[in-house]
Amino acid sequence: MNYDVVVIGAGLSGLMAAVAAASKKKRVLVVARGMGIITIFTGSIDVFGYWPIDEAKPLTSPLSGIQRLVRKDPEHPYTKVGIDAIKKGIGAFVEAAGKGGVQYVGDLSGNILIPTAVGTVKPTCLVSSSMAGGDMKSERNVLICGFSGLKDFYPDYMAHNISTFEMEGLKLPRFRARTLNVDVGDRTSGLNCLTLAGRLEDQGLLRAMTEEVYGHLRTGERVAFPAVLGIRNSRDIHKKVEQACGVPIFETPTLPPSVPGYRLYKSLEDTLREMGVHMLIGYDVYNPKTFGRRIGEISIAMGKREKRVSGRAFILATGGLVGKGITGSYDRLKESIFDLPVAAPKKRTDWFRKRLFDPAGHPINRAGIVVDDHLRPINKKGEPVYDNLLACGTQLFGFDALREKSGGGVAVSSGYKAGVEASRM
Amino acid sequence: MAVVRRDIHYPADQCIKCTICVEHCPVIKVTDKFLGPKQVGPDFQRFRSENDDPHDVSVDYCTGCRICDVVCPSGVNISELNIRSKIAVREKEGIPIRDTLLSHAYMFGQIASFTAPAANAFLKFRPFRWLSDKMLHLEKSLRYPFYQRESFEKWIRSYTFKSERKVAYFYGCFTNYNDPSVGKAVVKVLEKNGIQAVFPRQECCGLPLLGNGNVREARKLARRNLAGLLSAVDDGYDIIYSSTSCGMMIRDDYITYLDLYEAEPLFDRMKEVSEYLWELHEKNELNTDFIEVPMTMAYHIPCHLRSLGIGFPAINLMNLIPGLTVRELGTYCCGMAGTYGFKSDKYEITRAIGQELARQLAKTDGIYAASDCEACRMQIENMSTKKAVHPIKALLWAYGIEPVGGV
Repeated sequence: MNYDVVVIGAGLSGLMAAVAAASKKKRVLVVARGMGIITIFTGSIDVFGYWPIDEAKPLTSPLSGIQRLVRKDPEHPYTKVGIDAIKKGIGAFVEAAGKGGVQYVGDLSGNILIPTAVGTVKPTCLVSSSMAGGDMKSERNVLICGFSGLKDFYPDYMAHNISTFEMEGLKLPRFRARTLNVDVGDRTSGLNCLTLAGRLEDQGLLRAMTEEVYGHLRTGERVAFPAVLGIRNSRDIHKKVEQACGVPIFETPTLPPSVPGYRLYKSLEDTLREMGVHMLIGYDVYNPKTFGRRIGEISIAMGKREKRVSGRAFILATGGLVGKGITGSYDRLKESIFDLPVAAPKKRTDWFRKRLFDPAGHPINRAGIVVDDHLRPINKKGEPVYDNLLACGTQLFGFDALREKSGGGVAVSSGYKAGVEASRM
Repeated sequence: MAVVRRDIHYPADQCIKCTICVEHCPVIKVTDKFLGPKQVGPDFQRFRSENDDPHDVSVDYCTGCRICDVVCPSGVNISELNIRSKIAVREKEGIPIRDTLLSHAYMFGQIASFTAPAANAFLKFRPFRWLSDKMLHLEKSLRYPFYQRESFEKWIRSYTFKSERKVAYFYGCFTNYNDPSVGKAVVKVLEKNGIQAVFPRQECCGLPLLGNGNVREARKLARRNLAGLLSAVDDGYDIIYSSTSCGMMIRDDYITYLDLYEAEPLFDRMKEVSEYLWELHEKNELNTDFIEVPMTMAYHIPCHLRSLGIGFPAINLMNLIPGLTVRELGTYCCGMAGTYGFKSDKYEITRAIGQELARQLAKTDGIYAASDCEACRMQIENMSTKKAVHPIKALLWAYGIEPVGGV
């Protein structure tokens, strides 16, 4: 098998790299040992929520935060990607998701504050249109509706926590909770969000649910649901419920299995298929064949049947420690396919701070692959390890996605840039 | 070093509870009767031991599509845990008559093709269907596959092509009794490439039995198949198959579930027919003297093709044909899942899963839809107005052996 660009990894950054390379008319293969975190995350794209890292107040504008960051921190992935590619990457993401049927709202100039299922408020940059109504800058009070039998979403818990939540400069609207008794099926085993979302595509059930919600509504409220309003027809369903209730409604991201994550994955998959990108999921990648500073081929195999894949450029998007793109022994981390150097604190005792919720974050979360301005992994001397290998996404060195709320933005923008760079090789 | 994913004793402890398998499970999106691959697989595995209760009622709703294995980023053999649990439940509780009948379809094949069209008329006969639904819980509104008067086995006797270059062909029961045109197409396409097909002694691969939890009988069939297939390998032949599920059963499951380690030498020699032809093409040995086949062909990827780990060679082959536009539908499990769809308690689930396939088929131009799996082809015809064909038919038409649309 022979391709122009081979993307290894099927998470958000890998899929974005494929979008970027395919839009330059390249023959692209995405190969991955499994699906990425994209299907289980909230579906909202955090670009830059907090900076400096221990700042308690969220950034009002991700873009101005990044502009300040790139002057101060030469190691951060955003500095390597560059502001121009970040803007283009976000644009390409919104377009690619939209083509597949998921509309994103928001832009780099402002963060949206949305409530979470555990009753906190978090800054994020892009949300699917189904979540846009949850903007906490709006003063409209919120009726949170949960479902009796749904095991992963508790409206009273969310309403209680959010009533005690404090964020500087933010005056939250009032929240109250109702658990709907509409019959959504067998409740003995506990329903998960995905199964419920599938059920709510049934017109009769949806009508019954809407009627019950309407009965609970008070004037001037909007309605929050867990993100379960349909899987494939979610935009129609959203519109229908909103019209029937006569007030704005919005979805709140839940625990995995995540419905918005699945919707986003399916939409990007549809877009990639339309662009002619090939996808092989379930294959281990190993045994790269190199010629000096070039990678010529890799082996891929599910079980024992090995195939060789050659490419002009390779993009590594295999994730960090959770995604197993980076693996480790007791005190040493390594990249799992090309054995690239991984930058991390030398001693294991320096990996973590004493307090779990230390505002400065844990140094291990910043560990990763160091790259140059073209996103090529570099060695200690600062030279590219391979001329035609690029890295993107979570595995990059120098950022703390959890603290900064920057994981989605780094994945989208570095993936996009890697795809563009690869298509020039 | 390669990590071998399908090590049969891969511990369930590799599961990090990410729920990616749940996200991609076709069943859990349409019913709450199935607890989902994670819970039934690695979660429950912790409570299972050899002498223990298998702790499972919902595993019966698993279609066995194996997408969970494919998407798992931690390399857990989830479907294997589920299938083993299903076997354990069946061993404890016994197998219902209905499932025994369904899993022995190959036996009816012999009788039905002998007595077709009478058998077909009988299978269509409403009172019979009503009765079989009432008594055996066989879904009455589903079309049964038709039986052909001339089985593929019988047709082989008139096959005279001779060549130095040979390949062994495992055609499977469906091709033999229900759709011999697939077998004939395979043989004729090989002939265009100067390759003679030989036919090792064979019976049902045993997958329907395994899927219904009957390991003992599956092993009996497997042993008989192995005798023929291993001697073909000894003669130096590759073995091709045109049914992805049969191929998966023989290549992988004989060892994984039936502990028939003598099947080991088959692994490298067993090739899906399009995989085999595409390898010829990669060696510049495929006859590409094609005529134009002006049409749009929808293509549905069977789940078991995904889990064979050989890519999607039929798409590559069809893309060689001038005039032919292949539209891969982006669909996952069609819902039919072999004998699953014939069971009346599963029928609604089968229909509900199939809705996505129906939607995509309706959106795609053309009157034909290709799929390598016979159960998927049945479901395509159940869920749409398209005519379902094996992808090998596109080559049959491209070589001009049959007019476009002919069999």
